[in-house]
Amino acid sequence: MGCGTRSIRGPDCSERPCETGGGNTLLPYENIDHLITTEMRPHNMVQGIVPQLYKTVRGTGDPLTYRAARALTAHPGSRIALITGIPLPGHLPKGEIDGPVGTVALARALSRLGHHPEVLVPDELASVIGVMQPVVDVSAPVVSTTGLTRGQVSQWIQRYDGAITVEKLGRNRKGVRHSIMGTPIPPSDEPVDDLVDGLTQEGKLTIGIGDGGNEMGFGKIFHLAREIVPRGAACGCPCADGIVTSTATQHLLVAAVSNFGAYGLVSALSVLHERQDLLPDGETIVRTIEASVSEGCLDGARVDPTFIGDDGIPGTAIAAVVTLLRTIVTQWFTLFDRHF
Amino acid sequence: MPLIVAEHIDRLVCTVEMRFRSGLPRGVTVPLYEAARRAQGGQPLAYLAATALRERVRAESHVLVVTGAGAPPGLPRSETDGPPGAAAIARAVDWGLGAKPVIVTEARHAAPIVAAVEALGVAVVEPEVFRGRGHTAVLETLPTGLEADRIRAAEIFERYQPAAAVFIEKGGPNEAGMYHSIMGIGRGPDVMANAFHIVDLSRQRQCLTIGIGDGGNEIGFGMIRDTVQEVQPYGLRCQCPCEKGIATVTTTDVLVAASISNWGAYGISACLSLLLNRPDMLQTEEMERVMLERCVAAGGEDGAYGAPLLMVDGTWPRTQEAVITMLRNIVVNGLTDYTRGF
Repeated sequence: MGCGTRSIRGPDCSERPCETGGGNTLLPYENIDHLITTEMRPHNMVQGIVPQLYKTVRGTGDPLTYRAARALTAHPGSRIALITGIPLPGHLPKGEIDGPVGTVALARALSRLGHHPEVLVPDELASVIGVMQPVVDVSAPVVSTTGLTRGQVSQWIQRYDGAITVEKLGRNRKGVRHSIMGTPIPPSDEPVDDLVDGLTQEGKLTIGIGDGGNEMGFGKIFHLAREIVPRGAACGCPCADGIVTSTATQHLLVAAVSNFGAYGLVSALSVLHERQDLLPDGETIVRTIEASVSEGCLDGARVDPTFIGDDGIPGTAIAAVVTLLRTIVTQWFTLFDRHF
Repeated sequence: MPLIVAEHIDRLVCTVEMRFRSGLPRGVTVPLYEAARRAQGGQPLAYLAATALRERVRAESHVLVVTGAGAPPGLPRSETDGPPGAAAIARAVDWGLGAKPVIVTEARHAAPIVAAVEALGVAVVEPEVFRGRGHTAVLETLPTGLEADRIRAAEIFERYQPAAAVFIEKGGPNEAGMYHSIMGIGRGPDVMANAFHIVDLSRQRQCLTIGIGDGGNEIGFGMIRDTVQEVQPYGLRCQCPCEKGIATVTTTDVLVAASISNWGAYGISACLSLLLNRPDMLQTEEMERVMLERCVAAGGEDGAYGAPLLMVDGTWPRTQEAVITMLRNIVVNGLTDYTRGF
């Protein structure tokens, strides 16, 4: 694993050094991290904070997609809860595109790697997940979090070996969840933060994927995130505790768009396992978005059922990100003997 | 606000490396980029180049666009990295700044460069036509040979009085006056155009110089020669008898160290689009595809495979189009407001 030794093209390189660049086998993850933290949002949405959040989480350690991928690989055959979905009555009755699409992409990859992913969403999102899964050729069980009880939480902490949250709003210290603009979002699955906290406390693998500081996982850098994120410490709502969540995960993956984080994690798993079939192509991801929109899921920035995209970024640009991720992965395994 | 957007333009075109596994160096892009940023005060590199062009180039000014990499037998008619970047700069100069691009290269590299420039809506024409209308460029060739190129560079300056010169993937000499491939294969000044003369003249004539490259052997990288020597496998010592390494000594006012040189040029064009509020200026995906096809049809070859493939540095056409799509979206969304109710 890691550097990989398999050739998919060209003559074998047995007489040449396989690696250049000082044998740094973390290079593809570095490139994946850079790509998925490239912001393309509309400029009146929060812009410019992702690199700072990324840097804060990264510190001097390994690329974030590598850390998360390696952690998953260290727990083969795990039953993993993929947690996403924030329905917002009146605006996003069946949730937003950011979160669910990355979640089904992860479900596909994890299934193919021998894990047992289950998708945990509020009832409103169940049919959205249902129509997306066949598009990426996966059929993970869908589990409802609506009306989640404390008893269930205790059971699920035992049932699951780990969890990945994708753009799942987390509560702040006052127990309030907020949109990136500081609007309080009433939860339909209140104790779901307890599930993630419980798994983390049990020493199980938890990975949070987010793009704004208000999503589960950012509790890992709670105080610094409150400084970096606009409205981080002052949401403007009566709770007055800011939008940054106190819910931490073992690993935190920061991306420009949360779904990009999920695609990046799948790409990292592709490199680590030398599997190029894990991430669907860009057109398939766009078809997945189309399927979710047909079921009532909406872009969170545009809130427009005629817009096929993610966080205000049109489908063509989403497909472009996936194309570049796939290029990074494929190039890493492409061997060619060049003599000049 | 432009700086926040420009940060992400750099992130895309300067920090995502996509080289395949072979003898070609990998893991050099980010160290070169970071060194170039430090050496220039810390602002995004494509933004630095775009703002400099905007400040220094007036309508009807001439801008030298210098490119063309490779030599027989490996790459006799340029590689595909360079000409498309030159075309993007020529397009930005003409369609964006209303100025007049002058393409400069070796005669052997002219055909694929002309094909690329014309695919982006700038016709390469006779001097009379060039003087008479816009959306045109002229071609000037460097004959190769130290003295001949010095004379020609002086003639070019005399003729055009350029306000700026932009070098895209254009080889620069090392301290021994030798040119090198990234793998350290050496070539002399009689084989390669000595475009550094243009840099020398620019310095005397207050002409802005911008170098765009991806390896450290290209004009501009003299600015961070120490880093090139440190990170490039053949940086300090090449495979040719000169033994002085591939790092060039030629320095430009602005250096853009990119993942692929073309992308550095696209990044500059994207930043100019942003600054000029002209999101249509950067080429479309369709233009990008047509440009690559015409460039290869005219003899351009992929520099990584050394073959007439529809590729740039070993990456596919769809990869180039994806970069364009992302850049265009970064610019459009950077100029757009949406309001939502929560």
